Amino acid sequence: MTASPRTPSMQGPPDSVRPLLAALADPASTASYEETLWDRVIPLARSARLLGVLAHRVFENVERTRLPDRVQRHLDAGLIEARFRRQKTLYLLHTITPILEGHPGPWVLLKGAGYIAQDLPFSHGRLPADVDLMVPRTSLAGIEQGLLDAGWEFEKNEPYDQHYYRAWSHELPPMIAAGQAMELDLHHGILPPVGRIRPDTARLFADAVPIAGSRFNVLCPQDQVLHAVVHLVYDSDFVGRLRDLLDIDALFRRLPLSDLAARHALIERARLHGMEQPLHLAAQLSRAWFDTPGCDALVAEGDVAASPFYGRGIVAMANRVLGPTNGQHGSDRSARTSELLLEARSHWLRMPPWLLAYHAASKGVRSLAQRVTKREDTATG
Amino acid sequence: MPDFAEPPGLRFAVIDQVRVLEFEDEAVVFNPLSWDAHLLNPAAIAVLELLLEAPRSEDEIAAFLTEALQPDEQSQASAYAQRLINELQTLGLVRLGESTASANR
Amino acid sequence: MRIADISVESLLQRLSSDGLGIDFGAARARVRTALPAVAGMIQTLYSGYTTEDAEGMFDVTVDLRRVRGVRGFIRPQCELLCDGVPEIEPFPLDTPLPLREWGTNYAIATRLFCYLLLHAGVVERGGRAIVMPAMPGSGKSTLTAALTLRGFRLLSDEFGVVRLGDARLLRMLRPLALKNESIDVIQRFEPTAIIGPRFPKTHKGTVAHLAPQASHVDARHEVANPALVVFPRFDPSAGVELEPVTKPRAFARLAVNSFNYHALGPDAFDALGQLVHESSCWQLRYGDLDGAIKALGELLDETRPIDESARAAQYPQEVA
Repeated sequence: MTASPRTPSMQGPPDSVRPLLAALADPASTASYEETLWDRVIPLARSARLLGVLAHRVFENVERTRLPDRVQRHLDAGLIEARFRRQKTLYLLHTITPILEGHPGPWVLLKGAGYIAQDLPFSHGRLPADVDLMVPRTSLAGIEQGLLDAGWEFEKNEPYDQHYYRAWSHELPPMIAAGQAMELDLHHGILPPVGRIRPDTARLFADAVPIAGSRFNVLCPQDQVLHAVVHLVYDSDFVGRLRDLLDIDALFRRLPLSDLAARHALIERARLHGMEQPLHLAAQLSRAWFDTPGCDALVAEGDVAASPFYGRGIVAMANRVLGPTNGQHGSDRSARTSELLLEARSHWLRMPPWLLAYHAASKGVRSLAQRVTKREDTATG
Repeated sequence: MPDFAEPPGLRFAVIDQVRVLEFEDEAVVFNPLSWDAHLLNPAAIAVLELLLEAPRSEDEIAAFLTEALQPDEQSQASAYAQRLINELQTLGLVRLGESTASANR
Repeated sequence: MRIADISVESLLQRLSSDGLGIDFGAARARVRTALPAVAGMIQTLYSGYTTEDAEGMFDVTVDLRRVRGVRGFIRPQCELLCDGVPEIEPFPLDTPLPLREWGTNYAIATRLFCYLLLHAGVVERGGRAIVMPAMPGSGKSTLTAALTLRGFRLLSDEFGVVRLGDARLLRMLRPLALKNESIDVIQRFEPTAIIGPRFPKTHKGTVAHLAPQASHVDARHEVANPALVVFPRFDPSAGVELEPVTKPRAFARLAVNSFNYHALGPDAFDALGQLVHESSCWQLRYGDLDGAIKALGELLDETRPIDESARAAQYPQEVA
């Protein structure tokens, strides 16, 4: 640790979130939790949309009968919601497989849908909001038409939205269908083509790995990590995104980041995609919140140019806004300021100034924030 | 039951882990993939139960239905079988091909 | 100690500090507020409840408070936080109780995924329950309220709480929400009924609440067996008309009138199936409230409890 004085927010998570982090880090210890402690932990988990994940960890480590009935019921509720999302994800994939047939792949599942299809251990208890599928750009029009013919529709149908997504983004507007509880987001890349980071999309596809027993693929392990990294650190404003950081922690552990060779391969891959700075920032955050093994080494080894977008100021602000607060703000004003600054940062990163100005002129920055920031309401479920 | 000696071609099978709740005339069936529940009429239930015992071809299903129909309707058995199979397929309860179907009553 | 027996000042003191615990049966809430008017309303509507400590674990903590700042000055509003998070829109300051009730219902509906929650009024007599799904125009709340004033005990006027696994009905005792004309209907029907203040300007019209009776509150941890499923339809021109509904149709209509059936998958299917299997299912068209109550009582008496072994045989089991 450095000798320089650190503000509380530089040191990591606010105190109000620490009971949740403690339960996640050491689920076995929850066997001795008093009900008053559960009364704090469960609402925090729910608000962070991590109740199912917490439940999975607790039930793996603690005999159910040792937990108070009320606690069991809430943990069960978390698992039930997660099971619903998992089932609906698998059903959506089952339904679209025949529609994708004949269109050149690889068909690559991103993020939550990928973790579920691979049945990764850390996918249990997660609450994916939609199914993200990346297909080659040349297949996109055909697949889109196939879906429309099969009864799928665009959720947002205004001409401006359609134009925005198609011209500037790496994804189509979300698609929905009767009988499908999940949305389908079709991508041809993992980041908007006009942003400051330009991943090597050809390599994303070329190195994608098939999922055993499925027609679908996922990104290679390093790319999965990097996608999760930019999804949080570049493509979001951090607000209420603790679950995304937890995914990064899980993916780091899976590599594992603590292994020298794996770590160097990850750094190399980050260089290929121009993602060294986001990776460096993600490692700092993961270390601070989850004590992820290997992060210290990565932070030390990474030869990363300083940048105001990825530096200590950002770490401090992210620390303030990542977690659920459940009304226990340390300081309302500083968190609110951090939110605004991080939102501005996220727009700046994703669009060159001329495009930002165009959008601001067309629709106002407010609606831009709604369109571009897929901020999930942390208050629901 | 007729003896199905000759090897049939394609066979229809019920998907795994279907749940069936039987009431007097109708049944409510749970589709474990979509999580939808469907009301089935007696003819559809009968075909579903036949397929739960073992996968069958369309001809076998038609032969089964022939037994249940009145003499003047028996020529319709084939068309009827086709319709019911289509219905069950559309609902996603039945698919073409082998499966180790297990059902829960 | 009953809430009726403590002073409003004392109540307010608790509400504005650690909070007041309220046990509905299948769930319990911690309530906090500094609004004095709300303390008075709670004393009326929860008079039959016992005071609970605010210690321990609660299914939800509900904070009701005045919205501060410029916005709050221009249009006085109250807001409801569930576990510290504003999950629903604020209400005008003069309607705190409907906000509290609806907000708490919302919190319960979104948190209790461990149970199958039907949207129904449920009462029981002799441990045997009548489940009345709540379709618009059903008059469900009026009928439920009236039943509780004529010898049937309340489980809930909003939530049919079905326990997964054995399909028993649990209780979620809350003040019954009455709207518009039905407020007067119930007051006339039973003059001793305790009805709280009227709130004329809500988005559902005028709303008032009927306080659950103390003896019903005392039974909140008792479980009931499914016996009748009745789909009510209020029709002023009708007398009392009962028509049987087939069980598969009853199943479908119950599933559609549910808060979370769709999300519980096979467990909900099994539980609902068990409930329907054990119940006699009817459509009730009524204009005569007394007549309807009498008919339901007779129906309950006519249907015999199902025999235990038959129940076990029909209950769909999962083969691993």
